Amino acid sequence: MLDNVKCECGHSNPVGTMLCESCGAPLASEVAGKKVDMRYEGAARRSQTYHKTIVDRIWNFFSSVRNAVIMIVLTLIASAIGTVFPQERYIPVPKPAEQYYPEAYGTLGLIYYRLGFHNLYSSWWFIALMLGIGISLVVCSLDRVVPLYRALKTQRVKRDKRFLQIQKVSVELNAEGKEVEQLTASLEEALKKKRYHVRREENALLGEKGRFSRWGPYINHIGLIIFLIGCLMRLIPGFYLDQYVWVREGQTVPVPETNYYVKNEQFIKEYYQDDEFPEKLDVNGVIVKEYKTKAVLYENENAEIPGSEPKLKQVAKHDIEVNHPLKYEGLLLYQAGEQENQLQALNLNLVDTATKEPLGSVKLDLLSPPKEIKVNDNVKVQVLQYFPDFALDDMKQPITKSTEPNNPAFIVNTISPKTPNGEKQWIFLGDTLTADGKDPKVTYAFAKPDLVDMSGLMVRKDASLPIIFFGAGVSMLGLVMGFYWQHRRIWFQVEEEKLLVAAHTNKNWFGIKNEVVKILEANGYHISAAQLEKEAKQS
Amino acid sequence: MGTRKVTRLIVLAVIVLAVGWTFYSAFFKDKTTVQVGKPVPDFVAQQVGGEKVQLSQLKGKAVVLNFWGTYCPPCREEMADLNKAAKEFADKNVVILALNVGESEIPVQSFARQYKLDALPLLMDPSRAITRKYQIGEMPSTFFIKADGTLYKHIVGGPMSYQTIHDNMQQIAP
Amino acid sequence: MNSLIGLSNTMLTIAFIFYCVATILFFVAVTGKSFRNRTPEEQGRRGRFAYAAAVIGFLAHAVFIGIRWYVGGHIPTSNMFEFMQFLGFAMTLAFLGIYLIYRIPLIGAFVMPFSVLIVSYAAVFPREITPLIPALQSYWLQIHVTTAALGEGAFAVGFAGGLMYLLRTLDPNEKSKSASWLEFVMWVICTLVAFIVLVFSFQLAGYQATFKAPFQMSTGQVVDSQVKYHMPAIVGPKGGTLETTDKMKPWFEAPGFMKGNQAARKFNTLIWSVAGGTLLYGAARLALRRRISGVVGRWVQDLEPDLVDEISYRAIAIGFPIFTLGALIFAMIWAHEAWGRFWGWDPKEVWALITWLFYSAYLHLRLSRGWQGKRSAWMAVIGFIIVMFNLVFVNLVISGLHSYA
Repeated sequence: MLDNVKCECGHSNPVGTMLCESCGAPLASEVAGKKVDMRYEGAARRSQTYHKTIVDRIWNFFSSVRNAVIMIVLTLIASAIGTVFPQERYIPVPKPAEQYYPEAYGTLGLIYYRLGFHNLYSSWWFIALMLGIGISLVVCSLDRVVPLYRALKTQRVKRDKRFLQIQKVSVELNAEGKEVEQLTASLEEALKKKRYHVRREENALLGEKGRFSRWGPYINHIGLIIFLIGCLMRLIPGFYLDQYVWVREGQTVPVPETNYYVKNEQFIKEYYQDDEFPEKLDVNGVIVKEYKTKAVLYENENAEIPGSEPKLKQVAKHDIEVNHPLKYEGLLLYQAGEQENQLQALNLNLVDTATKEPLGSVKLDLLSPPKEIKVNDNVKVQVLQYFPDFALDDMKQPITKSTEPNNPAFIVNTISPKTPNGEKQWIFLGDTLTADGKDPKVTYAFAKPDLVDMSGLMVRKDASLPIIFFGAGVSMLGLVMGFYWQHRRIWFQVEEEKLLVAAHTNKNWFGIKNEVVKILEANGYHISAAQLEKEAKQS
Repeated sequence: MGTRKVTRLIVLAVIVLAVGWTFYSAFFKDKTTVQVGKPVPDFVAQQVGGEKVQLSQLKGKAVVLNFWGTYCPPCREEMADLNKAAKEFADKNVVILALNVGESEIPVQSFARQYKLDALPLLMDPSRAITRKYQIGEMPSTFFIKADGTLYKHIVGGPMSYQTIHDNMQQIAP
Repeated sequence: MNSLIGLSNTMLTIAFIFYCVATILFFVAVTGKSFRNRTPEEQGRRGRFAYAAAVIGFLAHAVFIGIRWYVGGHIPTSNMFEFMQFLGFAMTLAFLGIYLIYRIPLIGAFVMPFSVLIVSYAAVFPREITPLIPALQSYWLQIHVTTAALGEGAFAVGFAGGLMYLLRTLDPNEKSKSASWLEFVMWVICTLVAFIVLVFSFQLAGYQATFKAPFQMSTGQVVDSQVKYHMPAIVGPKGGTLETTDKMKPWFEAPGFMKGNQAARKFNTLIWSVAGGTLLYGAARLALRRRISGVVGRWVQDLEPDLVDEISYRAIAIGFPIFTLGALIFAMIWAHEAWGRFWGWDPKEVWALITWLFYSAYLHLRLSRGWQGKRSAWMAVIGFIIVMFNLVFVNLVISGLHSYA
């Protein structure tokens, strides 16, 4: 296989080049039978020239814009399918997926579930599609940007006549009787006035501006690639954390998958008051103004062996509000949920049933109840059994359903002067019960229980986030470069009493034609924009 | 031309590696902390009515580590059998540790009295630190650990039959 | 007392009126008996009047936004009413900008009606000024929503251009698939118009019917809930009973797979819109005795197709980076600040992505595959329909049909 194709002007071009990189002349051997377009300056694109090996074939597949668009459209359609029914993480009721979908949506729901669409965005084929787009981004860009860069760099000012003639904007004007030097200088001046960067070679002029905008799409693609790499980096262990903790006021809980502990000092929920606004909005106490958790973050220095006594060192303190998470060394705690007035402890007053004499009071903590409470010198209460979430099982035996104090029940033994051998009682929420159902000698009367608020904090770590946003930023830069500027080139060549005019842009022909018209007018040529275009556009 | 082919090959190779690693990490890599044949994480826990117990101190003895709770019906059902097995293997250097998940001592002690668990050491994990480390999901969850500290078998769910308990303990007995 | 609020509402009304005036003036500028005989200069003059009307409306609208911002303490983009009116504002702004480049009154005749429609649609939502809930208390509210709206405004102009191109180049009497689809788009527009007019009118008339219907809560418990209808009930909630007995009884009940308290009501609105739209379309066909696209097509015959094609593309090319920035990037940053995850694949986010992917496909096909003219115009039309779908359907129907609250 030949390495290069030599042009008449002497320049050596890579195989497959259609227009000489230097002078622009069509290379007959390559052009025959092909339509020459200026998108890549007629340069040889790898994918168009090499088709032999399997490597080439894979390369060609991914460098095709048509295939890329197909992948984009497939991704688009797949994404839409994922919104028909709620994804598994958004199921509104606490039911398992395999129950929910057929129940709520019948046969369609069952099919949806069986096909795995309820977890569409993490399914292997969706990820494969995105990876396909990622690969296409890399290959498409490499395939095009390298030849384009070469071509734009090595282009000469003076071009082969045929090159100018095949341009979309191309016209031959009469320069008979005109002073060549004066005309050229005047055109150069006019181009400079329109902020073109002008190069001159003999009687040929090349005015160029906005070349940087050609790189826009490629920078955009690089940005997207960085973005995708950032997303992939989440799979690296330690880079990503997604947890949730509930913390009661006054409580310190461990932050899962880390060596941190977080304490909720206070939870505040504030409502808007009417006097906060210039005019009456009628919102007194109806709309929440703020959720705030006063939080303290600790690091456990004794975290080697789980179960050992934590040695906590305070590392951060922050009022966590929505939109203002606690940030510490890559760890983020977000105000996410709240439950007010959770039962923390029951307060009971002991009363002698017969004499109605008060005997003292006890506090039964619902999270870690005491085994024995000394009320005073005469009265002692033993907690024999505790069910945080009381229920009766199939055989009517008392059990607890969970460790959450949703329905607390105690069995207590009261030792008092009237009950020296103890008196056993059940204490439920607001109710008591003796073994034989009769009135107890010592009655427990319910006082107001201890209530606390509970904050729901979302725990996040996302070390690849800077990369993700950097990628997004680069992508934006590329978009702005590519869409808000255009690469414009205007060629003027005076030879043999003729003024050859040609122009090229990658976008907005409307604008460049107007500029050419104005420049020519300033030099005594009156020609309309429509006359500048060579062939009729097909619809 | 040679360089072009090499370039393409390198680019594609890099891409294939990246893709392969992605799929591997996302779908195939085993992320569990406790795997068969590997040493299990160490921990320390308070025994009800006794001393603190540290797992690594039990090297030389095989350990059956059972995660349970009074709120878990199959856990309750297998407790009696576990107690019986503890008695049978008492002199064979196999220890059963029943680690309670997330409860306070009162229900655990009450449960022990009710089910007459006289031979079974009951350990407490009220903050669930050990439970999280072992990535416990469904309960009961039982780890059969060899005397050298590596995992022999992990059984999730229950109740286990006495036979199952007995046979596995036989396998790990030193 | 509520003088400022009253003043702001007046300003919005003024804006709305001037948008209508501008629409009419733009139509007059491009239609009328001696249309073809008018010189470009004359067209230009009438176009300038129409443009002036649009500008006045725009300024009044800006005042409305300013007052509301001051009174409420936040930029007015926090609920459906506020966002929709802002979108109308953004569309007008995008149009005013594009007009300065190309100066074609016909664009006004296509874009301004949409501004009118969108602002009317905004008016059907509750418009009390309410302070921001904590999740929205962020400067990102200003940045994200406004930028996204601007991008969508530009896409609206692209849509108008695409539509104009198709009307110009497709022969409606031809039995081609393209011509039929174009007519279908006309029907869709009729449905949208009918929807807005119906909702608006019934609200003006103060129509309200109340149903009592069983509703399954997130805990699994079934309670009786109240469902308020603002249109006569063609379809009623499943298992519901009409409490306001003097109002129309439903013709049938909503099918079981439609979950959610408000599902039946939304289905009802949908039925009304489709029926109303079809009626409107039918009436227009009868009155005009030919396809609507044929009639509208005549207005655009003097346009240069290539120019319209260019305008459509240009609007989208300008709008795409803005949309990317606003609807994706700013959205991701804010999502991270507020919820700890920059992307959660929830329907709103997914449809923003779908919109982005679609326009990206549009640009690739146009710039790399040479898809100009008709194919490009169709994509511009479909793209904006996706945008509207995101705003209307996803906001109201998908979450409604699939939510339990």
